[in-house]
Order: sequence, then C-alpha cells, then structure tokens
Amino acid sequence: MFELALSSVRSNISRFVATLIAIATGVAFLTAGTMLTTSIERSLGGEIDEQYAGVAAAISPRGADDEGGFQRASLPASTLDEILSVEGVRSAVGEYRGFTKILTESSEKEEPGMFGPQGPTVRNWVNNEELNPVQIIEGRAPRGANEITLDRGTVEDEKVTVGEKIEISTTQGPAKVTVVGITAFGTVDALDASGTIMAAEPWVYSLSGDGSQSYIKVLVASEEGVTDAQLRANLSTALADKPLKVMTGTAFRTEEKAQSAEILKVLRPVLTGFALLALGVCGFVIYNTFNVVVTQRTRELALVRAIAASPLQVWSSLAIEGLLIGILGSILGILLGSAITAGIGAILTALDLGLPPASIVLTPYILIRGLLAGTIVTFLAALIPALRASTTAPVDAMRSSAAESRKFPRVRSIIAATLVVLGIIAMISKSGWLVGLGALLFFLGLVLMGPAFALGFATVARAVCRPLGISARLSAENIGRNPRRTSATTNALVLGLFLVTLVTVAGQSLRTYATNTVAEFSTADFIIATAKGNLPEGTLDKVAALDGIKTVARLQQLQVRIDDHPASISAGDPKELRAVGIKTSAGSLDKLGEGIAIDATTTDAVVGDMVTFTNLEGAPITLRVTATIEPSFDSFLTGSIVSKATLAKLDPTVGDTTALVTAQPNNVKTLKAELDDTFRGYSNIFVAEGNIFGQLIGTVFDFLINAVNALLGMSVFIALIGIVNTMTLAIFERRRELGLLRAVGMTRTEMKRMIRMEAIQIAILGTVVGVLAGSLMAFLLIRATDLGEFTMPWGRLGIILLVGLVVGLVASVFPTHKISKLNVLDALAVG
Amino acid sequence: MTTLSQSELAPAAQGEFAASVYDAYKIYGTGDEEIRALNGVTVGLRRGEFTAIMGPSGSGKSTLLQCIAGLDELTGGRVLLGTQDITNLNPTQLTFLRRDYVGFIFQSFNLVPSLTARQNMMLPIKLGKRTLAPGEFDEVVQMVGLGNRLDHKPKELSGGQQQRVAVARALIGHPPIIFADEPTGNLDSRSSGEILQFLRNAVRSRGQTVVMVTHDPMAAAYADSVIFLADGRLVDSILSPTPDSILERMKQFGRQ
Repeated sequence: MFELALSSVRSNISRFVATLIAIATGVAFLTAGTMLTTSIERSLGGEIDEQYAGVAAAISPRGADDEGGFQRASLPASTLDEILSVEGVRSAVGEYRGFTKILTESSEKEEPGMFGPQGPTVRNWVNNEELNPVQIIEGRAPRGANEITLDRGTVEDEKVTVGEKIEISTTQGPAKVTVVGITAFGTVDALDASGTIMAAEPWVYSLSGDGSQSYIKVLVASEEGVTDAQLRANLSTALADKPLKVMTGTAFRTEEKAQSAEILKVLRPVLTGFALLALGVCGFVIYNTFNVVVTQRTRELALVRAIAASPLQVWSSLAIEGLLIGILGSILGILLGSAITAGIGAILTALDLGLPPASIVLTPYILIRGLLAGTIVTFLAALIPALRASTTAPVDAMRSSAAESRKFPRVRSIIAATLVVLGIIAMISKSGWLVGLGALLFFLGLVLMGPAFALGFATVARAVCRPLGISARLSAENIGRNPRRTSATTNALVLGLFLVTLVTVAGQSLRTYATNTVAEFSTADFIIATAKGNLPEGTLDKVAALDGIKTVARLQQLQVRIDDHPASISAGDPKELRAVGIKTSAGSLDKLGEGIAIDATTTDAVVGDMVTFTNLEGAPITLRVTATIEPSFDSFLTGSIVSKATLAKLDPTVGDTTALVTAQPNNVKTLKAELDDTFRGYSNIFVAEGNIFGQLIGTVFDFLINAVNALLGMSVFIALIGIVNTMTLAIFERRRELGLLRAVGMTRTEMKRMIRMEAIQIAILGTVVGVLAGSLMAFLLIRATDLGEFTMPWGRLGIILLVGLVVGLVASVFPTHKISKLNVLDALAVG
Repeated sequence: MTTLSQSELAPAAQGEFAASVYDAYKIYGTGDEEIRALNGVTVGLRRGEFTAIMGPSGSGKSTLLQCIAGLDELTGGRVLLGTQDITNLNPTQLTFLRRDYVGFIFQSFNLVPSLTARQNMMLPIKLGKRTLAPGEFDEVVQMVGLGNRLDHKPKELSGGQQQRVAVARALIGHPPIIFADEPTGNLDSRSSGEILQFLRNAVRSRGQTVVMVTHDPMAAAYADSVIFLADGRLVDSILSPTPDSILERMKQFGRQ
C-alpha cells in the first residue's frame, strides 16, 4: 500500500499544494519562534558567560530582584571593604546603576516607553579588567568629573565622536560632559537595552544618584585554589548579619542571562501558543483537502476496493499519504521558518534595537519538534476522510459521480446544539472550572454546528441572491451544496475570527474595567519623585508658584524593609496630604506623634499593634500603629505615614523626595509641559500624571490586544489558504458543470463573478459565525468573571467584519484566475 | 442538396443555411504527429431541417459539430451561423451568440445538479436576460411531457427524464439551431425514440433546425438527411434516410 500512496501523492501533488502551504506556514511559525528565542538567548547568554567569566561570587541586597524597579535597596561602600577582607577574595568591585538622558532634540522627543522613561543606563567604570564586563574599543576609560564613555550603539545613534561634548541630565540638572571613549559588551553593542553610559567614581554618583557611594551588586574574584562554593560559604559567614544574598559566579551568570532574556519568558510561551493555534487551523484545511481529494478519487478507490483491496488497505494507503504530505510540508515549514528567522534577523539589525543578531539555529529539538508537529497534525486530519473512503462499499462508490450530501445533518446538529446550550449554561454558572469547561463545550458545539450553519446560510443567501442574477443564484446554491465541506472551510476562518473577536471584545471590556478601577484609586494630578536622593532645593517652590497649581503635598520618604520586602515610610503635612486625597480608614493623620499611619497593603497590623521595620542597613525600627490609610494609588506611593519628627529621628538626611500635586481644573495638559520644563535635565526626577497607572494599564491592554490579534492574523491567513483550496478543488470537481454553463451561454465574466461571490459568501459565513460566537463568549465570560461591564467595541467589530470580507475577496483571486482558463470542450469531455 | 462546392458560396445561397462551413480544417500537432480531424470540409445545413452527422470513431464528426457551434476554433476555413461569419469572433462574442442562437444537448451531464428541472430549462434564458413569448414555456414542457417533474433536482430524475429536460432547455426560447452530440448514447431504445421524436417535432412544428451527431443508424433515421464523414472528409450523404439505407451505406465504407 505504500507504493500506491507514494504514486498517488506524486501524481496528485498539485491538489496538495494548498495543504502543503498550510502545514508549512504553521510549522514555519513554530520554527521561527523557537529559533528566534533560542538565538537571542544564546547570543546574550554567550556574551554574559564570556564577559563575566572572572566573577567567582556576587553579593546583592536580599529581595532586590523580586521587587523590580521599585527597589531602592543598595549596598553601602563600607560593605565592599568588608568583603575585600574576607578570606579567599582576591579582588572585589561594586556595580552601580542609575539613569540619565542624553539631551538632544531627537532623544528628548522620544515618548516614554511602556514601562517608564527610557534612557541609557549609567554605570560606574570598573577599574578591574577581570571583573569589568565591557571593553574600550576607542578612546580611553573615564577618569574624573564630566568624563563619560558611550556604548557603540548609542554613539552610532547619536552620531557623536570621541572628544565631543554632549549635554546629559544629571541629579543637579543638565550638564556638559566629554565623551572620552566608546565601549562594547563583547560582540554586542551595549550591556543595557537602551545603551550604557559609564563614568568614574565618585563623580558617577553626582551624575545619577544622591552623591553617596553605594552599589546594587558586588562582584568578587577569587584567589587561586579557592572554589566558588568555598568562597560563597566564606562570604555568607562573614556577611551573615546583613540583609545580603551571596551567589556563586555560576548562579550570578545564570541570573544575569535570565534577566537579559527577560522578554523571552513572555515571548516564548506566547509564540508557542500561537504556533499551536496556527497548526490547529491547519488541521481544518488539511481535513478539508483530504476530504475533497478522497471524494474526487471515489471511483479510483472503488476500483482498488473492487480489485479486492481490504478497507484496511485503502485506509492505510490514505493514511500513509497523509503522513507523506505531513513530512514534506513540515520540511518545507522548517526551511520557511529558517528563512523567516533570517529575515527577522536582518530587520532587527536594520532597526538597530540593540538586540543581538537573530540567526538560524538548527538544534535537533527544533527540527524534531517541527517535523513531529506538522506530521502529526496532518496525519490526524487525514484519518477521518481516510476512514470514510475505506468504509464506502465499492458499488456505491462506482455509482455516484460526485458524492454530495445536502441532507440536513440532524443527529450531528442535535448533539452540537446540546453542547452549545450546555456550554452556555456552564458559563452562566460562574463557577471557576465549569466556566472553562463551558467555553470548551461551546466551541466544540460551534464547530459541529458548521454544516447546519452552512445550510441555513445557503437558504438566506439564495433569497438574497435571487434578484442579483443567475451567477449570484448559482453561487448561493453552491454554498449549500456540500454543507460539510462548506463548514470545514469556514471553520478555519470561524476559529481565527472567533478568537480575534473574543480577545478584542473581552479585552476592551477588561481594559475599561481596569482603567476605571485604577482611576478610582488615583487622586493626585501629578507625581514628582526622585529615583534616589532628594529633590533639588527650591524646585518644589517653583512648582508651587506655577499658574494653575492647587496643592503641592511635599513628602519626605525613607526606604525600609518589612519581612524582607522593600517598603516606604513618608512624612508630610497632614493638611496637604488630605488636600491631595490621602484618607485614613482608622485614626487620624493629625495626631501621629510617635506613632505610624500604616499602609494597609504592607502589613495586617491594626491600630494599637506594634510594627517593626528594618532600615537598609538592617537596624530595626519599631513603631505603634495609630492610624490606617485607605488604599489608593497615592497611598501606594507614600507608603506608611509618620510625623516629620519621627522621620527626622530615623534618618536626619532625608529631605523632600516626592510631591503629590493637584491642579486647578482644565490646567492638567498645560501644566504637564511646564513641569517637564522645570525638571528638564535632572536625571533622577520623574514627573508623571497622577493617572499614569491607569494610562499604563490602558497601554498594556491595547498592546496585548493588538499583539494577540496580530498573531491571530496568522490563523486568518491560513483560513484564507483553506478557502482558496476548497474553491480550487470545487472548480476542479465541477468542471463539467462549469463547461456546460459556458456551453449554454455563461460568459467568463459571469462565471468569475459566480466564483467570487461564492468565496465571499464563505467568508461572510465564517466571519459572521466567528464574530457572533466570539462576542457571545466574551459577554458570557465577562459576566461569569464579574469583571466590569460588557461593552461592544462596534468600531473594532466593523474592522473585523471588513477583514472577513477582504479575506473572501483575496481568496477568490486565484480560483477566478483558474476558471478563466477553463476550456469548455476539455471540461465537457471529462468522462 | 446538402453539400455544395466552392462556386456555390454565393451570398444569396447563404440564407438557405442555418449554418455552414467552408473548406474547414482542424489540425492537431505538427510534423509526424499531425492529426487532421477535419481535412477540408465544406457543408451547409439547411434551415428547418433535421440533419444527422455520421461516421466511424475519429472521423471528425464531433469536431465538426463543435466548430460549427462555436465551441471550438478551426485551424483553417470559415464558419457561418445563418448569415453571420463567426470564424473570427472572440470568446465572449461567441458566448453571447450561443445564448441566443444555439441550443445544446450533450450525451450526458446536461444539467446543473444544484438546479431544479425548471431552473435548468430556463438557464439560457436567464443567462441571456431574455423573456419568453407567452405560452412558450408551457408549450415546450408539454412537448417533452415534463409537467409534474419540474421542481425535481436532476438526481431525482431518471436518465430519460434528465435528457428530456436537456431537450426542453435546447428548444426553449426558439434558438434557430440546435446541436445534439450523441443525445441518445446513454439511453434505452424507448427513451431514445421519445427524445428523437421531440427533436423531429421541433423541426416540423416549430421550424427549428437540428444537427445531431450519432453512430446509431436507428437514431440517424429520424433525420431528414444524413451526411457521412471519414478521416476528416465529407464522403457521402443521403436524403430521407431509413435504417436500412444507412446501414447499407456504412457497410460500403467498411469495405473500402
């Protein structure tokens, strides 16, 4: 039977073209995704291993990594001296990081990124070749004040040369600095995503910082003969009394790699998920192709059966065909995936995003996974048509010229309707796993319902098309002609647009809910804060003097830890705090005395309890709770509140670090520009609108909805291939009929119009079912999860419907082209 | 007189013919592989007559029919439908001509499966966006005896009934000429007889012209005249044929 299968694939290869494209597209997506992430990870990882090879141990403040950008914990310089004296330590250097912005017209215009303002990372120049991760490739290392090095990427972007003076933001405001050298991180341009600026200690702390010397990490090189584990043990013992974490060099490099490849953590499962979805959609297309191919070959198969091949032999012959096509398509997919990866690599290089070059990586894992995925999907999709063909009696098959069943599939529809109803009931139930199961049942029922939809749609289409002339009428007839095939074709589109609609509608509702919820928590119009240190003297007076400002609540803030998590304690004027909207749910801000108004999100303590914090050096601070603050976005910024006297006692150096600002109505827009101007050139100061969190969430939701939809577009593309496929095969199958129509007087134009209308009707059917089902599911899910109000984004739905129509139009291009080449006599002559 | 020589190409004579071909050549392939399906045929098909074209397999009889009907192009020579020269018409012009001027009956697969008998019958009329003369539809339906079967789909009809629908479609709207390619090839003798009688009636009572390709002497005997093709050439013709006279003529060819 293998021979029969092989010869059949060879002689029918043109019928499998669309199947091959579908499989190849799915597999290519899977392959390219994996290659891209693997190659990025590898090249980043490779540099980290090389550049940090000399690191035998690393020390960082405990709990620093899990709090991301909010941590301000640091290692004081005194700790570095202690580390240097530990046994086995040959040398140790501190790593400092801060922010700045290069003040050129182009870089200032750049909008802040999704996660805050993006400027180059400031680092201290490490005077230790073994532990310094970067190399000078031009010029020299920075030595004194106002000298910096830039990374290669930034130099190219900003078009500066060694010896040139540029203006950057610093803690003291804008400053002119000299570029004395250019650095590179191994073969990569920069160590940090948005570029690296390095300056010598101690000036680097005035560039970005409060002037005091402190590190976020200390890197240690070991003496000869001391193992990393031993060194780690020595350091842990020596630093046991401090809130520090000691890692071996290997652990440190692993962590750095994980951080540099942070984006991959999100990217990889998302890409894989969509690749699997694409393959699922492929499944419909493949299933359909095999169905049609099998139908076309009914006679041939009947002959084989009549010559006494057993059903099993026929089945296995077809199954092997599926296997062969699957393998071929998968190989094509892997090749295509490699090409896509190379293309994306070239685009990334051209865009100069500072990402390492993405290159084609062929690991056995990628190869085998691609092959298996494509082959298994094809094989599974071919099974049912193969079974159907093998169980047809030879005589039946010989008799019918074209097996078309337009009977209403009653049993199937009853089952499908039951599933849909059960699914809806389960989703209404609102109980966790039942909702998930309901969603699954709902979709399964929807797919099974396909033929019934096709027949129903055909009835409507017939009525609509009646007055539009004979070609329109015939196209409507064709839709209902083989409802099973129509539904298998549309299901690919239904699946794609169903998910697009679900994501869009549910996403929009969630977005509205989330931004509204956040807006309720936010009261201040602006937040002014420093990343480190105090706000420059007098700047807040300038702010208060601006036109349109209502209140400026000044806060002195201290970073502390509670249960090893960073937290804030602030002091401020109670009247000002109340004026910007800070409220207490118990006690009052006026009579704090020695006590503390606790931020309810940091601890469960209630009024009357004693709470204990530790300062960054590890010394305990114990205070009595006299009030509780009502949680809001502003209280999230202030943390717990104490009196000014208490704060001064805890740390006498703290000045104004943060301000919550409210504006007169209608002044918010103009004030933002004025505030930005006031703080231009200060590297540490962050001016944000009070509802920045809401805006951020809105941006994140928009980004997610669009990204997910872009990836889902893939499945719509495969669905398009499916329509082209079905239409082409249907033309092939009906060519005698088409020849007859031409013979009795249908012009080519009319025939093309008929085919085009058929493709569009298939697309409309798929789109309508997909959009309706997606909206219904979104409604049910939003209702089930109680996350806000269901809103219909009509504009976006309109776009989706338009996409569906365009898919139909595009899908009809190839079939109409093919039909215009139909030769009447050849078509009629087909026996 | 159904054959004519070059000298008889006078325009005045053309009015007598529903269709005519002059010095028709149809050549496939080149060199050693050259096949001359039509090798210089000149023939006129008289208006209001039933003509049968006969000949052994490969004699070119179907090719001749298809070329006259505008379904295929000649390699050389000219084709006239009525007085209109269709030799150099483009495919779309030919299509429009077929709609209004020509009716077709094929051996099998005459009907669009998704349309009912009525819709199939009306197909050329709908395609041409024409309207029927009052009573025309009922007249044709009555002629072929399809009264109670009009709303059935082709697969619900027997072979004979399907072919009747095909005849009705060819007759309706009064196209001046009807081409039938082995219309009874797939039918039993009773159904065959009925179909051929309908065609003859169309010629007698409606004045339509019928041209039929067949290899069956019994079928050809329904025609007013029979022309014989062999190796792409016109070799003989009989007026008012009977099955016996046709068989006799065929035997002579066999001996040659």
